[in-house]
Amino acid sequence: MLKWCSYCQQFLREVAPYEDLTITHGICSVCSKKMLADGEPDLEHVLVLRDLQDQFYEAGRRNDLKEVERIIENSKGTKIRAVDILLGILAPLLQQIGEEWKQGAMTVAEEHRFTAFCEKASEIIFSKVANKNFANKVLPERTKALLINASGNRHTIGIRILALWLRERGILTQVLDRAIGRDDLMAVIREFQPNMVLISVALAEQAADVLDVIECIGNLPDHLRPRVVVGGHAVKRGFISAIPGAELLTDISSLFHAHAEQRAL
Amino acid sequence: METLHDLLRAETSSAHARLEALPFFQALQQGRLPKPAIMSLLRSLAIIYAVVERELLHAADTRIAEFAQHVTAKMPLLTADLEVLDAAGIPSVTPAIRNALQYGAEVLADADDPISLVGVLYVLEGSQNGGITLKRSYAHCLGVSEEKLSYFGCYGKDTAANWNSFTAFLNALELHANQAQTIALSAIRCFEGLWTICAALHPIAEDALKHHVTAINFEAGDHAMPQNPYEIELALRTGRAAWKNYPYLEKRFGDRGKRFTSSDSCWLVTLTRMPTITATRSLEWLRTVLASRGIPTIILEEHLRAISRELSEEFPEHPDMSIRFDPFLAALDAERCVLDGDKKISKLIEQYDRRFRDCDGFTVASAAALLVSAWMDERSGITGAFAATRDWFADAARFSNNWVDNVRAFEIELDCAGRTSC
Repeated sequence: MLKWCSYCQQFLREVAPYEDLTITHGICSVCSKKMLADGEPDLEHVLVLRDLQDQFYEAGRRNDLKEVERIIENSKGTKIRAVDILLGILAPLLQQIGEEWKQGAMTVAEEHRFTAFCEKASEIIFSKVANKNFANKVLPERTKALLINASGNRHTIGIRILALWLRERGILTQVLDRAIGRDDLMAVIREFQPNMVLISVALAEQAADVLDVIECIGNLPDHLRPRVVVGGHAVKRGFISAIPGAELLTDISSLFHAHAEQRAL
Repeated sequence: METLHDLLRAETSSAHARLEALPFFQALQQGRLPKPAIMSLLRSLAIIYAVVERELLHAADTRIAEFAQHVTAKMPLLTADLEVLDAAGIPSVTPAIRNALQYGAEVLADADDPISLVGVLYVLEGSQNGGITLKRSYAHCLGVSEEKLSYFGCYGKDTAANWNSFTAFLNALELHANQAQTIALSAIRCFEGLWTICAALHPIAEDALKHHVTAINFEAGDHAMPQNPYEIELALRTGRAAWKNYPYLEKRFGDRGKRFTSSDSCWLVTLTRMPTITATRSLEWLRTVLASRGIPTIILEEHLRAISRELSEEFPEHPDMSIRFDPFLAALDAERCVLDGDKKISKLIEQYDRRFRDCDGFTVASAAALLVSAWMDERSGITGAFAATRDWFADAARFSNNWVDNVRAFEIELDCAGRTSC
């Protein structure tokens, strides 16, 4: 399920059951403190979010990108941020499309068109936040994350959305949205020196490629060796339960929690 | 006044020239293009045509539907070529195949506006003009006689007349604002798509030659495929057995279904090399995919048991492979125990099998077992699984009234038995 803060309208995290993509509500830590002073949150916000989710779905069904522009414009009055629409509405919509295809409710052609729609809708949102300055949130130790797809996973939208979300949280990110060879990847790691490499895996068979990347990273000098964190559809849906040398994340927001915990340590 | 054909010729000329300048065509004309490159071209074209011809068939735009009727279907020709050339055992140039899949996905997404298909057809039909002159070179590189090849230069001596008729129809299309430009853009994209394919085909990059699932099924996408030829053979053999055991598959899903059974079988064999949890989850996923489309789990179950049996015979040195499906199969057994612990349902299958056999007209073997399996799928949480199978078996346009009445009565008895079992 998709948990949003019903008070400030920020996407919080995904919670089990992960295959259920309905919106539920919670309260973020900031609002929780505020609530003690102000009283109950406005539960109307939950309805607004669900309505927003439905609007995107219907726009997708009609392949109506103008409607996307209108929805985003209208959402400005509801405190909902574009980055949260990407993570809490559009990314789950992509998962929902996959589920609908699995259950025979959508044809391959419809699935491809809907996916293409989500990608174009994401581009619209990317363009609106591209120049946003997140500098004030950059963490003092300049945590850096390199985001890549496992070989064979050609959908780059997931890592691009995640990169934006991490940027918004002050983490410096670099996205490799095209396939590159191992030597080139290691060269990027040497130059960028990320604290973690995030790998998105769509299908279980792509785990073999992750193992290969882990082996190459293992050959780097200690001070250049980042953590390897693996997520994506294959992990979220339990097709992969372990990869030696990697941390698996079913929920991308827990990445930030893990990161925060590591900082605390 | 400039015709649509003039516009397309002008707009695509540089993309066309860029394609023809590739080393692929030089090697072809010099007679040194490797066989896997040509096989992979045929496979790539099959991937694209599978999308184009399917979308044309379903195009709601009457202009496009009418236009499509003037174009000879190429899928049967490509299928025939790949069969004649005994392509199944020859590996694919995988980067080219992936480029074809990517371009095919693009065509599919763009076909939301079916006018875009006209641009694709313009390029593909036009390629037959070059195909007639290159046919001899293709045959030479493949080491076969020209007569054996169906796709390249498929219009033979009628090529010019066919092209004239095609372009006349193109020029007669009634277009709305900007549609000519949409067609031109899709034609340019088609040349670019073909360029990415042919550029990857020659010279063949190191490690590019692999067995790819599209050699088995053009529409299977890009999923895992065994690389051991013995495993591929085993997968195809067990797929054929599943097909034979359930004539329902052929009657309902035809040749396309047969191709998917083969490619799915290849994927199933790859699961035997995955961790058990991955194999089990993947099978649960496939079960939902199949059951939701009217393929009850009993078919998958028997298919898996056949693969396990054959693996233990052919690869006794890898006993772990033949037991990889056991947890999934054990879960199905347990499900059956819960739903049919008192064997009432098993007795119903026998009873209705007899009734179905006695029906007049069109009949399908194992209908009772298939309906029960679909019913169990539904009971196990796969919403719509029963309807997906029952609706086909209860179609009065296909079956006799007596048959359909039996299907309805069977459903009632199953629900009744289910209530008492649970």
